[in-house]
Amino acid sequence: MILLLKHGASEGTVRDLKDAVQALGLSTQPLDDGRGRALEVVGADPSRVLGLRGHAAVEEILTRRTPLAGGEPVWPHFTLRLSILSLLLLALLSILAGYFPAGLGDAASVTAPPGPPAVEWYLRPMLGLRDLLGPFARVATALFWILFFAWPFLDRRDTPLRRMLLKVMGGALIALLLVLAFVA
Amino acid sequence: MAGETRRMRRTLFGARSRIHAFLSALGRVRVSPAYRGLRWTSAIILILFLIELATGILLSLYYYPEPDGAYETLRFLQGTVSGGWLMRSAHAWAGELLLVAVLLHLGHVYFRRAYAHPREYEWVVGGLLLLATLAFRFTGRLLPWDDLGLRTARAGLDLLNTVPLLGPLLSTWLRGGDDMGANTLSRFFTTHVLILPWFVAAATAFHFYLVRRHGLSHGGQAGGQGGTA
Repeated sequence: MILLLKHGASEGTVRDLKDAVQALGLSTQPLDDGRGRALEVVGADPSRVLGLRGHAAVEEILTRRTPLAGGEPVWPHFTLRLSILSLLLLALLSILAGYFPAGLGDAASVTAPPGPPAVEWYLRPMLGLRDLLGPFARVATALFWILFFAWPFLDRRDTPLRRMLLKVMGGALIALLLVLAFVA
Repeated sequence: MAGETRRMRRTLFGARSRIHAFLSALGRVRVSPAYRGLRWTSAIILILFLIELATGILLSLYYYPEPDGAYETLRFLQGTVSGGWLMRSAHAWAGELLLVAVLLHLGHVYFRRAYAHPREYEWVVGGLLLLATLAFRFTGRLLPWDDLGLRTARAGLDLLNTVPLLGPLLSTWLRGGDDMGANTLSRFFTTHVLILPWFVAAATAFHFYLVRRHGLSHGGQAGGQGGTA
C-alpha cells in the first residue's frame, strides 16, 4: 500500500497522517515515487489504511507498487542523468580535440597523379574481405547484408544451444573483422 | 498600462503553464529500470548525434563546398576563427565516437538477442542507421578537400562498387561524373548535410517509436514493458 501525499500537504497534516497509520498498528517509510512525496505502509494487513482515504494529507492510495516500480520518470530524474552524460561527453570531446586535433593535409589536386588509396579504419574490414575473396567478394558482400537484415526473421527459436551458437558466431565474426582490419 | 501588465502576466502565465504541462507529461513517462549498462549506448548515440548536428551547423557557417574554396575556408577556420579548430576537431571526434557507440549498441543487441520477435524492425532500422553513420563518416572525410580525403574517397567509392545492385549506382551518383571534381564535392556535401541528417532523424524517430511501443527487451523474451523505454 502506498500513500501518495498531496503536494501542498503541510508537515503537521503529514505527521497527523503518520500518527493515524500508527494507531492502526502499522508503520510508514518514505518512498521516492518520482513525482512528490509518498509513504509506503508496512505491517500486517496494510489494506486497513484504505479507511484514511479522506485524510487531508492523502492525494491517493495505491494498492499496488507496480506503477511506482515502473522506472524513474523522464522528468526530472532521467533528464538529469542525460544532462550529466552530455557534460561528460563534451568534456571527453574537448580533451580529445585538445590533444589530438583534426589535421588538414595538403590541398587536393584532381589533376595530379593519384597517390596510394587511403582507407579509414571502419572500411578496412570490407577492403580486407574484398582482397581475400577476390571475384567472390561481390556475392559475399550481398549475402552478408541480406543475412544481416533478415537475421531477426530467421532466428526464431530460443534455446540454450542456439544462444551459445549465436555467441560463437558473433565472436568469430568480430575476430574475423578485426583480423581483416589490422592484418589485411 | 495596467492592462498591458495584466496581458504580460497572462502571456507569461500561459507560457509557464504550457511548460509545466509538458514537464508533467514527461514526468508521467517512465524509463524502465532495465535501462542500464550498455543500453546507455543508445543515449550516448543520441547525444553525440546532437553534438554532431550543433558543431556541423557552426562549421557550415564558414564552409564553402567548392574545390577552390573548401580547403581555404577550412584553413581559415582552423587558423583564424576563434575556436574554429575546436569545433572541427570536436565534430571529427564525435563522429568517431558515434560510430564506435553504434557498433557497441549493435553488438549488445545481437548478443542479448534483443532483436527477437516482436522487435525485428528495430534491428532493421538500426542496421540502416549503422549504414547511415558509415555514410556520414565517409562523405565527411572528403569535405576538407585535402589529399588524404581525396584518396580516402577514391578508395571508398572503389569499395562501394563491390556492393551488388546499389553499389555501382551510388558510386556513380556520388562521383557525379567520370572523374572526381566539383560535382563530387557538391554531392558529398549535399549527402552529408542534407540527405543523411534528415534520414537519420526520421529513422531515429521511428526506431524510438518502436522501442517505446515494444518496451525494452529482456534478453530475447517475447513481449516487454510497453510504455517504458
